[in-house]
Amino acid sequence: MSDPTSMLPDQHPRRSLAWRVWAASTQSLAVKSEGLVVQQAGENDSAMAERCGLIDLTVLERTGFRGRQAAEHLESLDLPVPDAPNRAAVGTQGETVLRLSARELWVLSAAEDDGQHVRRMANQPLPTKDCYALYCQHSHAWLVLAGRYRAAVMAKLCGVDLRESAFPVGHIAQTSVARSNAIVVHHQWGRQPVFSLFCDSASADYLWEALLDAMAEFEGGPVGLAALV
Amino acid sequence: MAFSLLKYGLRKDYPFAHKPDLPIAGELKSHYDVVIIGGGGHGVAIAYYLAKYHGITNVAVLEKGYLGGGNTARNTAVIRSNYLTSEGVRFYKASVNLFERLSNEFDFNIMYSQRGQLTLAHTDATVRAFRQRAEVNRHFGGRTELIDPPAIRELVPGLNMHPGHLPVLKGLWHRDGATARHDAVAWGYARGATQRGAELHQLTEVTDVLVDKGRAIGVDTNRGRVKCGCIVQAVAGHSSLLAAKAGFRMPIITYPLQAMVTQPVKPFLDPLVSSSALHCYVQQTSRGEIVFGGGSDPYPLYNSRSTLELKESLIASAVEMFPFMAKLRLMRQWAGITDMTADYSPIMGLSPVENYYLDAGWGTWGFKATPICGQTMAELVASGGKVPELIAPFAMDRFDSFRQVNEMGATAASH
Amino acid sequence: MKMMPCPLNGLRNISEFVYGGEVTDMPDHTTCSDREWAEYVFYTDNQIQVVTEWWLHAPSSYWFIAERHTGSDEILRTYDPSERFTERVDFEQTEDNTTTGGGSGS
Ligand SMILES: Cc1cc2nc3c(=O)[nH]c(=O)nc-3n(C[C@H](O)[C@H](O)[C@H](O)COP(=O)(O)OP(=O)(O)OC[C@H]3O[C@@H](n4cnc5c(N)ncnc54)[C@H](O)[C@@H]3O)c2cc1C
Repeated sequence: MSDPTSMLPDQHPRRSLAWRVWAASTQSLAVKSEGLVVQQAGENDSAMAERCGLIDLTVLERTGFRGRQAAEHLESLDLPVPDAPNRAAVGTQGETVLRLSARELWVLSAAEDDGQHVRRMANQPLPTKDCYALYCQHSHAWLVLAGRYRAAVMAKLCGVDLRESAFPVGHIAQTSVARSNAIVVHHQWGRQPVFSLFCDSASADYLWEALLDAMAEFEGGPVGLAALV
Repeated sequence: MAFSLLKYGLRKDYPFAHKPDLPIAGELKSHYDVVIIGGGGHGVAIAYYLAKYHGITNVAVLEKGYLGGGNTARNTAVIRSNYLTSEGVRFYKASVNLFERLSNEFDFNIMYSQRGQLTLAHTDATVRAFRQRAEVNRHFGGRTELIDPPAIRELVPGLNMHPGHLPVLKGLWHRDGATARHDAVAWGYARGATQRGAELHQLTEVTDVLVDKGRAIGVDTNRGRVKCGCIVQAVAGHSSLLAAKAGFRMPIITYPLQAMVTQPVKPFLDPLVSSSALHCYVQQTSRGEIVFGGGSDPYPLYNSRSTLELKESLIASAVEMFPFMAKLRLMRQWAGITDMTADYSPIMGLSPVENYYLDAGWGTWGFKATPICGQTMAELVASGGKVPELIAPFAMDRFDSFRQVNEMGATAASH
Repeated sequence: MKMMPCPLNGLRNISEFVYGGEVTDMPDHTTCSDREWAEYVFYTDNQIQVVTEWWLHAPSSYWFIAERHTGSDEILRTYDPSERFTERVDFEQTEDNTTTGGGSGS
């Protein structure tokens, strides 16, 4: 494959649905999880990521399980299962496990690897009963909002209190963001705590623009992966 | 001059002998040939045509509040016939025809104003549905056509042709579309009915329906018992409550419908404009106010409270359509309780109880049908239960045999 | 804005929820009459009273049950459907490969 840093986003087969809206604010690209992500968005990515930065990680690996046996299945794969719905936990290899309801769990790949753990896990045979695969790779977009103003940004778009005091790391809110549905996860990803937002893949570019619009007053903007990992 | 004016003003017969539009009804009689429950536009229209065409005047309209204080007072008065099914179009077209002559017939100005109604299509699928509606409407003598963006821009210069991700592709232009003063319609019918001998009893609530061996024989009210030859119920949002008193269930769910109006501005909008995708319809009244509304509330309720979420989403849509509206102030906001059917067509005709007739399921679209409902229901009552052909498709038992008359798409955003 | 307590997600704006109809028992459609089926599909009590309804919390696709008054709009109680439905409802395959309903499962 040719050098991704000089590639146009539409030349790569595995790219996010929202690439058109961020393509213009991109200095270099990287391939992660066999998909295209922004490596560097601008000159001061790190400072931006400190305040509030946004990146589209839709191509990164994730999978899910549903059913009475879903929790047992994850435990058998050596993953931590949060003890209550709407909580997240990080496993020893960096995967984040989301408990979205009593019987529904997602696993997000770690910042540090290339998604191979999650891919391997998704290929494991399922228990014969009461555990079903839940595909969340192509149904949802994955946007990450980093930086110390992340809760202030979200306060403009979302009715749920996402300040640290009410929504610490490890919490999940499934709610309405900018009038469309989203799952908001507060977790450590890479070097810092971030909000991961999962929305319907069809709303990816809408939500991207709504977030940027809300971030503008905090001088936030798109950032690259290098600023986070 | 000033003195003679004063003298004239003080004369007993100024400006002529005072004759109220509506006589004060006296005591309830113990028996009427026909009891009509509900003194909205529909109820008094039925009484009017019973008297006018069938000579039946021993009729009482029983209204728990005041004349036309229900949905008749709350609706946004869109009058049109550009529906989808042939059953629907034929019926509503007959109503529009009656509306056109109503001021003359009443000798009472209902302020009928035929400004045309424009519905916007933002998707190919809607364009296809509009083509069909235009054809069906034309077939039954209505004036409806599909028009292109340049023609739309000419008709409605202030309209945003690219609201969000929903560019305006085509418009369904219905020249017969009109509006009228809703209170005047109720008053015109009530005056005509009472002048011919029918009685309108306001503040008279039906508390029970008396049924004997499957036949309706009378009602109990807060003012006592009334026996009768037959009963018509025309109570809009309260249809299921009355039906339960008569002993049966209906395929109806009651939802609130909200609407609102801005401060008056100079005339800028002639036609009534609605957008199917934005779920919003907008019109300017003859006073200059902008009336706008949208879809029903999202869940059933018997309560005309106002909600923030409806205001938020409806104003967002209205501002998408007419961006300058963002500068206006809201003056009033209100809601009505509407009786929704699954197919967005009414329920008219016979009920499981003999001599008990239904004019219900009018949901969010029944003002325009007031004249034709009055006429056909009067015919049904006068004939002792022979269902007029025009309303036969709207029988309640169509749901039992799955013969719905689907007008959902042609109703939702325009009423 | 009016709020609703979601058994899974806590107190949320009512705009996050979707109404799903009253909780009623489904008749056996292989044996019931057209009239009974129409009663189930279309006819309702629609009275002013406390009703038991299905609601969906849309952002989490979570269905639950609410008891609500149709006059005051007061939400009296919300709970997980497992309080009422203890078994999975399966639709058995018949010979001609059409499915038949397994009843309400309650
Ligand atoms: C916000 C809104 C906008 C609308 N917009 C349009 C529109 O643009 N175009 C259109 O065609 N339609 C519209 N509609 C629908 C339309 O208003 C109704 O379908 C129509 O007015 C019904 O007329 P009615 O006479 O049957 O009912 P109503 O006018 O509601 O009269 C029924 C009467 O029955 C009385 N009643 C109830 N129970 C009892 C009892 N037990 N005893 C005695 N009396 C009782 C009530 O007090 C009421 O006055 C709208 C409705 C609303 C709420």
